[in-house]
Amino acid sequence: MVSRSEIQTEKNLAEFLVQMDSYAPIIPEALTDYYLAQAGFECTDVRIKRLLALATQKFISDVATDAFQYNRIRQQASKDKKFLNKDRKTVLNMDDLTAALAEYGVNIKKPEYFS
Amino acid sequence: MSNRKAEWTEGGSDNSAGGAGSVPSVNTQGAAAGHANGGARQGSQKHIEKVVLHYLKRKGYRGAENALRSDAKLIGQESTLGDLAQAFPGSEVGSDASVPNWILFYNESEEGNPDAYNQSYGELRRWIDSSLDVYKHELYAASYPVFVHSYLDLLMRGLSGKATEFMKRYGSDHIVHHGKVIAVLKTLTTKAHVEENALSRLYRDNKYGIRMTRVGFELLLAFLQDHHYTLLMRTVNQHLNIRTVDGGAAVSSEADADVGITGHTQSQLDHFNSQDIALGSVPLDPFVRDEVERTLQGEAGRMVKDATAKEASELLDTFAKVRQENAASALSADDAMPMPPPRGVEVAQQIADLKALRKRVKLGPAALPSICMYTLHNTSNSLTCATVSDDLSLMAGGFSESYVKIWSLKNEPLRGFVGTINPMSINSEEDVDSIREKTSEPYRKLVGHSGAVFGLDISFDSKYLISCSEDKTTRLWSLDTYTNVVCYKGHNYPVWDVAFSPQGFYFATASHDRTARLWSCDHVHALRIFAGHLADVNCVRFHPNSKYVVTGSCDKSVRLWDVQRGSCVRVFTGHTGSVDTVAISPDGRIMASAGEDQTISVWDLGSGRRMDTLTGHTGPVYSLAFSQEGTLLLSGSADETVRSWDIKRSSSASEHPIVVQRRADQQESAPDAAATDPDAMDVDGAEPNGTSASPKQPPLPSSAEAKKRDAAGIWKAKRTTESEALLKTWRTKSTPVYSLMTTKRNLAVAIGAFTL
Repeated sequence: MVSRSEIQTEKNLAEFLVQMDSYAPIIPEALTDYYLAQAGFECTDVRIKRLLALATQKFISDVATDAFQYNRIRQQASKDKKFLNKDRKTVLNMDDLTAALAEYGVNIKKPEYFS
Repeated sequence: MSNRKAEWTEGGSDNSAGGAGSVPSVNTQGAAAGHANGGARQGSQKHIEKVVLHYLKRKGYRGAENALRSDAKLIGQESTLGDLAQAFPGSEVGSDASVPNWILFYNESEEGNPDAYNQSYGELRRWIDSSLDVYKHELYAASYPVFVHSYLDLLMRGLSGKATEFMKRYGSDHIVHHGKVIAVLKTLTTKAHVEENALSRLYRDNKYGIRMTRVGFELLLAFLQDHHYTLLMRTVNQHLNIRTVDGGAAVSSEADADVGITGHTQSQLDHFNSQDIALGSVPLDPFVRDEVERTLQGEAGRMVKDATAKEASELLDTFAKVRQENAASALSADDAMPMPPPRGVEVAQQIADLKALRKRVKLGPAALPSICMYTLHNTSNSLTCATVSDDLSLMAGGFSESYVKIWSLKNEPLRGFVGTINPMSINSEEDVDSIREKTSEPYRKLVGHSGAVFGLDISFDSKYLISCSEDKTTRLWSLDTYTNVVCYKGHNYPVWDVAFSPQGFYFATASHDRTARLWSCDHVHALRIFAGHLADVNCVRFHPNSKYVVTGSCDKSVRLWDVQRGSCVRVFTGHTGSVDTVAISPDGRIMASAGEDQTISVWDLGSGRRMDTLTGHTGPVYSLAFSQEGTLLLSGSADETVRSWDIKRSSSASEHPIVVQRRADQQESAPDAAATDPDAMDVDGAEPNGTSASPKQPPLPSSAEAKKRDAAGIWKAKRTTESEALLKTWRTKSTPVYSLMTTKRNLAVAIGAFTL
């Protein structure tokens, strides 16, 4: 027995896939194909592949946004002394990225250089 | 007592000669009050008492200790070293066993001297260099484990400085034959390293096997005893397992003497290797036999007596002849492996085999094979394995990017199926044809693994491909639909190799988890686990009758496993590097193995003896293949050559019965087996060159070469001398050879990837 909510989810997916026909995600299709093959996933439907690329794009953008938030917090914390106007450009640091990725369960913390 | 102790590492020697109160410490962490060397000789009695005192103290027997201490002031006890040693159980290898060793081999002059190892090993090496050439090889082989254990002992006592010095002075001697181990040992610098490192633990926990002549062994013992090198004696006693062979120069090279660490003692190995095995050929299924005869007779008895009819009658004759030859050596139907009932494929395969037999080229030392070499270009170092189907219609390659690529060697399009198949609508071959893809390329890419593909095999009927990968799974692919049919999970670590059984249906995998497993195509979980290797299993192959599986491993041994029982029945030791490939001759009696040490060893499966060692390759050997008669062996290697070798099959080599009856008439064949085994032993004694046949020794170098070699020490000159058995070398253009096979018609096929 298929429940009503499952039917609804299927309908949503079908409608979403129709939209995938016209939208090409930022990640190039060749790159998506390469990584999907390396992971053992074979699919002839271009829209599914685009859906997966879109999900990846969202993940990357989420991580980047979180890292940016961490960077802002650090800036707020050390607001007083070392700030000149031209330092306003924000750069992605490994510290911010490590903290952001830790939230998603990816641990890239390495031991310090000097230990 | 403590105020008399001095740190060994500081080298301070406390002069307390004759004092009953100072107890030299047996404990490796502790201190030792070293006596001045001069006064040490007199009163060996006192030494014994001191050692016993310390033992009692370590065990916590206070009453006994105090009693002995008070009594020891009186001179009365006449216990000898031997008596004391007998009081303790002798032969377990462990920390407590060091106590009888200490008592037996106690030498005050070496105790307090941190340079003891350095000096005694140096003297040992000098002595070996000056001894007779006849014994040099085995003595060098024996000095290697002594070196390793001395180095580890120095580290365990905390003498890292001395250890590094020791390694620097004497390590280069052993790099030639044991380079990898020396490299690992150099990285160990503290006691904690030694305790944690897997290699050092392997050496400490297992005895190292060495084969020596009795004279050589006695020379060594006499040397060590005369000069009182008790530390070395202790090492030899505790860590070496020396097997003496009678006869003159039984040991012709260092590689021959070196048995290595097998997890068994030599006597255990010999006993182990005398288990019964059944090496007979597969019995012909009566259904298949009847069908083949019926088909061939149908063809032969046709009205129009054309070429096919004539061929069919000739095939009938060949069939009868083959059946007659195999009748003697075939297993009984009960002994053979259980297989699913035969289908048309087996009948067609049998007829194809008969045709191939008639057209087979007879190969031998005089008639060398033709080799068809397939070179893959533009693989950019990602090709990991390759194989060809038995009928040479398909070639498959596994890549580190997790896919398998299949090419049609006849340039036919490889057409899969379109959409889903409704079995109800398929009634004939045209229907099947109609639902296939209309057109396709002559190559296909199979995606499914999520890690690099390390091993491939195609079944005998070219219907299935099996692949194993770094992602711990093995996958079965259908070569009709070109899709993944089954995924087999069970290993916990990357799977290095996979092989189909010659009759199909079963396959075996070899993995990093030190096991090989047997699977059948219709069960998702393994049927048997073959556990016993001490390091990861690199390669696996089936015996032609499918009852046995041969595995080669990084622990330098090759093992033969009984598939039905899951037990190991033979252990073949002798390689000095990890074994990367094995091959069994089509008649099932001879096995060849090769790997990192660039030599190929040929073994007799029945007796477990090494028949031959073939040298000549200058790079690791990746693949081996026998000719159909079993008289020629082909090998492909990373040195970009394919070489062919002559396999001399002397009748004395294989004394083991080929077919062992396991029923009521077992009683008659058991005495036969017992009778032949002593014969096999006598062969070894009577001909000292039993295992390494003398005609195969490398040609002697010229005298100038020999002098240069001796001057440099026999270790230093490592130039590969080629065996006499080497018939021909085929060189490729920058293409290491990955895979070799011989077809039923004795055509050799090699596959390599062009590497710039």
